[in-house]
Formats: sequence, structure tokens, C-alpha cells
Amino acid sequence: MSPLLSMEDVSLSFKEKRVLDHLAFQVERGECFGFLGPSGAGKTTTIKLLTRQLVKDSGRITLFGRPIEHASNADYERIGVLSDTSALYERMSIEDNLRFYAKIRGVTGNNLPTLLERMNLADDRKTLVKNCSKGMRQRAALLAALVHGPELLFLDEPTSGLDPAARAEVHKMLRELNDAGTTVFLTTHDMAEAEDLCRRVGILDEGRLVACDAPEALRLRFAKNEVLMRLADGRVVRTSKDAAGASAVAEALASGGCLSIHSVEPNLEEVFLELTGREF
Amino acid sequence: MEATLRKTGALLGKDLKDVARNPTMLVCCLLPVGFMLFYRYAFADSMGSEIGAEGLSLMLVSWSLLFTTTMVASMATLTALAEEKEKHTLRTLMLANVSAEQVLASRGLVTLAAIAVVDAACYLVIGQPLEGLPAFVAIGIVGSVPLVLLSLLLGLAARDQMSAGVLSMPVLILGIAPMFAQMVDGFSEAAAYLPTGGMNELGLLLAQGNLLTSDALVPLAVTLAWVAAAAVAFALLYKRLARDN
Repeated sequence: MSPLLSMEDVSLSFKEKRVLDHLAFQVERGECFGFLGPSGAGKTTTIKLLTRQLVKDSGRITLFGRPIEHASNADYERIGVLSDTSALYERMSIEDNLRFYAKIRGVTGNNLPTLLERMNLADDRKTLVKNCSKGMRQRAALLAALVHGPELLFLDEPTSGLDPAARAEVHKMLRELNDAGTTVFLTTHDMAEAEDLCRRVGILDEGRLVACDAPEALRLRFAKNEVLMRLADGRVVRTSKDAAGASAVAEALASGGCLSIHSVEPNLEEVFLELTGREF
Repeated sequence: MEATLRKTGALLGKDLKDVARNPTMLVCCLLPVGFMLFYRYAFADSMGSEIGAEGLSLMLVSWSLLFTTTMVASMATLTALAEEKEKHTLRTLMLANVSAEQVLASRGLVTLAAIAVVDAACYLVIGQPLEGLPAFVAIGIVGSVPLVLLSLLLGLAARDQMSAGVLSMPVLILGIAPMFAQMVDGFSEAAAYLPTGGMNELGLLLAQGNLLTSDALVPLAVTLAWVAAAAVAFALLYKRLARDN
């Protein structure tokens, strides 16, 4: 089965500056794919290419199995987008905005009460957007992208500006959508968010994809060859994952003084640092 | 086609409501009516004695058309589009698979509808015979098309409401230029060929009861020529501006 979307050797420059450099990856149907990288790495530019806001210089992009140049309006009706600048009409209430987008998308909007409830916006549905907090606006904009039940969802930093509770709500909703079959393409610079939500992640640095795999696989790939033992006498002992380390572990276990044993694996942030040699 | 009609219909509903909700737009729609009330009742005596009752009537007809077209076109089209860009709602619409053509069609139609309503209100305020109302509104709508198309282009070119204020200057100057035609020697004839000149002349002919005479042919031709020229300019510039912005 062909991937839902793919990029092959895609490059893009703004004047002299190369912003995407031979980018290549695939996203399978039903997957939650995370696109990670620091600000300016090219994450938003990639979403703009995939949503017809920009045109690539070279390479090949396919969407729903077709070259993006041949993607029809009907194909884009199957997509929902929350961009970094998505905004609703300020002089309209949250509910009126969502009903407007339901009309635009050609759906009844019968699911709006459920969606509003799900995002904790039911009590504020009559509030004018101009009177909403940043977090409420962000959640409402996310609902506007979801109102037609898209098959593919592009989310550009969907939880930026949200408090921890709202963030957890968004994560829960995205997990439910993904479980129900929606393919999610998510950009973030929050490593924990990517680890929490995504089946696979691509790490982007200065327009180049420096790694693309499951978070667990990336962590294992960059795991140190060490085991960490916490002993009853308070000592923390690092030992290698080899025959010598095995005998040290066996000795500690046999003595009964071993409280815990952990393999030393990096988190995604450490993987990124390892790959690029710089910080977020 | 069905999707285009549905989306344009939804945009029309939203834009129509916005005319009433947006205080700036509402004021710009009410201002021509307010001016006409003011001129008719506050200035009628002093101006009437100077230019006569018929002169005053002609002046109010002319000013109604020109004020309405320029103020509503620049605000309901140009500034409203600039606001959509500044607040990123236009991009959000585009990402919801709405085309620039649908957005512009909706804005253009709402502006023309607002012009029709304001023209009708002005016409009633200045006390013209009721039987001339449909013709007056029709002249106002057709005569406004060039300025509405120009405002749509400038709205696409404007980055924000601040730059829209600067860009609306040519619309205002072009639109109300025929008002000053009689004050400047030699400008009167030239003014008849400006974008709103034909509309102004047709309005005056209507007020004089001469609309359905051969005198109306030249101003009608001027108006239609500007509509055609604006449509061509719009078609040529639209794609570039829509892409750049």
C-alpha cells in the first residue's frame, strides 16, 4: 500500500538560503508522525509545502498516492490544518466560528457539542473570540480544523501556549483521533510531546532530516553501552553491557545489595543533541 | 460547483453579518446617510439660496452616489480584506480549502449590497421622488464596480490595516473627484471620464428626468468602459497579488 504522504529528495530555497535540503520521508495511513526540530529548522515550511502554501524547487511530493501537483480540491477536503497562525474571527463567538467552518466544509456540525465538550469549551461556546484567552483560541482553532472529521491532520505546534491541563486534553484528543484512524502529522519542538504521541519521528536540523524512526528505536540507537546500578549502601555504579558488566551485575545481585538496575538510554532531546551537536 | 456555491454562500453570510458587527464598517456605511441628512437639513437654507432648490437637489444626488461608493468600497472591501490578512483569518480560510476567488467574490458582493442599501437610504433622506429609487440604486451599483474591483486588488496588496489606510487614498481621491469638478475650471469635462464620473453624470440625468434620453449614452459608455477596464486589470493583477500575499 502506498504511503498517505511522502517526500522524496525535496529541496526549497528562499533566495540564497536553502531552507529544505533533499528532504525524504513517508507517512503511512493511520500513523501519528512527529516532525521535530528547533525554531527555523524547516518544520513549518514543510507543512506549507504539503498544504499548497509554498511550491518546492525540486523533488517529489505525493499526497493520497498522487503527485501533489495533481492533488484536487476534493483531496484537500480530506485534510485538516492547524497552522502556527491559525485564527478565528474575533467578532464571532467560538460556536459561530465553528458553525461557519462546518458550513465551509459542507458538514452539518452535529458533532460540535461533543467537540466543544471534549475541549472544555462547552461553557464558553458563546464567548466572542476577542474575549478568549490564548489557550481557548488555540483549542477553538484546533476544533475548526477537526470539524469535518479529516483523514489527515496537519498540526503545527498544536500545544504552544497551552497550560498543562489544556495540553493534556489536546494530547488525549489527538490520541483518540489517531486511534480512530486519523493520520496525524505533527510538528513540535517539545520532545516529550513527540515521545508521548508519535509512532515515528523525523528530526530536522537546518532543513536536513538527520534521523527518522520510532522514538524508542532512536533512543536505543543512541543508548550508551552502560547499565546503572543503585546499591543499598547508596553508591551508584555504572557498568558496561558486556561480559565484565554482567559479572558485576551478577555480583551485586548475589550480594543482595542491589536496589535497582537501569540501562542508560537518552531521551529524544539528548538524541537531538547527539545528532546535531546543538541545543534547542 | 456545488462546493463553490456552498463556500461562497457561507462567506456571504459571515461577511454580511460583519458589516453590522464591525463598528468601523458600520460607521462608514452610516456616514454618507448622516452627511446627506446634514446637508439637506442644516445647509439647505444657506446653500439653497446660493444655488437654488434644483441645484441643491442635483448636488445632493451627486454627493450621495460619490460618498457612498468611495466610503463603502474602501472600507467594506479594502480595509476588511486587510483586516483578514492582518489577523490571519484569510490564511486560515485558505487552509480550509477556500479559494481566493471565493473570498473576493463574497467581499465584492457584500460591498455592492451595502452600497445598494446605503444609496437607497441616502436617496430617501435627500427627498427625491420614489419612482427614481430603483434606477438610482442600479446606477450606484454598476457605477461602483470599478472602485470595488480596485479596492479588492488593493486589499490583496495591503499587508495590514495600517497600509490599507494609505492604499485607500487613491480610491477616495478617484471616487470623490467628480464632486470637485464644478469648483475647478476645466476639470468638469475631464471629471466625467473618471471611474465614478459616468455614474455621477447618470445620477444627475436621473434627477433632471433625462435618464432615458440620448444624453445618457456617453456616461453609460464611460461607466461600462471603466467596469470592463477594471475587470481586465483585476484579471491581470489578481493572480500575482494573490500569490505574493
